[in-house]
Amino acid sequence: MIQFKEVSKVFGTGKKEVRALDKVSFTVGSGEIFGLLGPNGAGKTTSLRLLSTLLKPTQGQITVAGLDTVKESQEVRNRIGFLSSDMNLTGSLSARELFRFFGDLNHIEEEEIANRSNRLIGQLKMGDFYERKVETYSTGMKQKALIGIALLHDPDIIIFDEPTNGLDIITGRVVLDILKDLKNRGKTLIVSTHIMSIAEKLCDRIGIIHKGTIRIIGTLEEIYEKTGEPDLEEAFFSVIGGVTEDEGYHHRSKKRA
Amino acid sequence: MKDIITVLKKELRNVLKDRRTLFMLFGVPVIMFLLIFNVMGEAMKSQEKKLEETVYKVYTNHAAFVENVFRDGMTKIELVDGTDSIENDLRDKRFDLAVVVEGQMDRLSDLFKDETEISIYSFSGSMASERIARVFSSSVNLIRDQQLRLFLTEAELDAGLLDKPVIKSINIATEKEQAGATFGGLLPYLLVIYLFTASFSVGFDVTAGEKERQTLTILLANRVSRSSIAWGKILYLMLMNILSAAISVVAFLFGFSSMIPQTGSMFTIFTPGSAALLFLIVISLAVLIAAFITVIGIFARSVKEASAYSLPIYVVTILFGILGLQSEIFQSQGVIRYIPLINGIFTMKDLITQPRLDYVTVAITVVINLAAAALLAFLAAKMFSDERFVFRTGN
Repeated sequence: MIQFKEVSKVFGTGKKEVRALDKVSFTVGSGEIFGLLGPNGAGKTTSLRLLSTLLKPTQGQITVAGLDTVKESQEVRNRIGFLSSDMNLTGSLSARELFRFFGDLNHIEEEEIANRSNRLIGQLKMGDFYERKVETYSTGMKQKALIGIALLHDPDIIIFDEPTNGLDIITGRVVLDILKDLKNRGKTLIVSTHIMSIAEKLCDRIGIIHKGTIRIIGTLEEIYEKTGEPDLEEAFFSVIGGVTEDEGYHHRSKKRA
Repeated sequence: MKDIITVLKKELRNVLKDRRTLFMLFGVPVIMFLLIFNVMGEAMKSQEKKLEETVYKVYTNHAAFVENVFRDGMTKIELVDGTDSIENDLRDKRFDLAVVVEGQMDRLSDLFKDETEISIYSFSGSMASERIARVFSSSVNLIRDQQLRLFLTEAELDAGLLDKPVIKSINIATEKEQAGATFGGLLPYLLVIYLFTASFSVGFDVTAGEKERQTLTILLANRVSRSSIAWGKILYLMLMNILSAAISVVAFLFGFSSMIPQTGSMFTIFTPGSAALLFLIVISLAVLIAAFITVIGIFARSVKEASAYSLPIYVVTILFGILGLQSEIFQSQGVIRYIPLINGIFTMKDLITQPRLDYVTVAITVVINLAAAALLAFLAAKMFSDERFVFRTGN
């Protein structure tokens, strides 16, 4: 369903050149939930932005359901729902009006927009906020509205970049429930996160990315086996190579040693 | 096209619910123009009245002469003493006028003696000082003429020689046309300012502002093509520019009419033809400015940066607007009509001030501006599809 083939992404030129991704290859099957783990600056967001056609690869190719993300970007976007932690909502429109706007953009019939909106409002537990201006929303409420917008056109592929970032525990739970529901409905999900428990609970397979390259891919069991670590957090630190000063990460197993 | 209209409608819905922006775009120009012109009109009237009623303080070394000059009592004066420095006293407003008479002057006929010299000191920083100096000079000239007439009559010569040749000044412009001349210079200047002002607030908000607030990504991740997003935003900005400029002009016309009521309604200076042509030029300018602002807004990292980029063009345009206010340095029929944006200022001026409509110049102005706007809009659509610009933020 989703295929990354030797994908590299370079930002800037000359001395300012930054290689965000370097020959990344992986596939995600239909109905699969794929977790992308990695520290800040590892290349998670770049990977997901490339997949959602917001960026173009410098080298390599990405396909979604056989469609090229560069040559057939509009068709790809038609099939995906994208949510990123760096998205924001402001302005005088309410969530209802925004749902209507994005429904229109996706050429959904008016009645169908209303039906889908009502279902999403219930699922997202938005309550009366649905009719209020989004500029008055809390972070959590904005995230719910953004999820609603991403799912309104009922995409087959859902790409969530850090979906629980900055959320309180209650809103975080609502988002997790949504992800579980999508999983049960057979949707294909790619979720980037640095919260290990989410990855453990939800993902069929996990890829750990660090410094622009995929270091390991597999099911939880396969990762435990390959790294020899007892849980995902230990496996994560083992894969990224432990403590580095610039990142400030501490390899707990090394500490203990 | 459907997607473009959807984006346009969304932006319009958003702004229609934003009372503060609506007030700034449409309410402020109306209030500002009506208020400014009314306050200006009242201030001018009260200033004139005040100057007529003022008792002017005059310093002189020849009180009898000065009192004689003002003997008609139309202008009230009070003779005052000064210090050693006339200049300092004038600046300190100890008096409004100083008259220093050199030479013996016991009678008015002494005005013609070689040694007679009258120095009139005034301070142009004070309206009262300027006015009393003007009144004094013209009164002295009047007395001199009267004395000359007396001499000529006594010498049995024809005093009527002083009235030769007969000079008749005939201004064929009606009062309305004279008002139109003033208005014609002012209108293009104000229009351009308002077209830019509306663009700055609304245009940068939906381009650089959205990038800065990170609200653009959600739209870009949707199935809608990026050129549709760009065109939707450009059309929205064009519409807001035209509406804001039209309301500003109407408010200006009402305000101007209320300040100079003797001109009647300023709307009468337009014929249906000139009003239609003016509207065409305004549309072409609004479209061009919208496209320009959109390109700058997409390129810039932030609203602040976008404002800095557009400032030079804005300043140059305003400078040409000021030139259009008072001079005939540039003729709209010349090379200037091929320069986008600037051509609009001079063509609008000619349209209001010239008796005959120059359809060719208007057509060239509109076509040049629309062509430049189309070029910029095409560039804007391309930039919206380019990650180097849409993800170029200061964050």
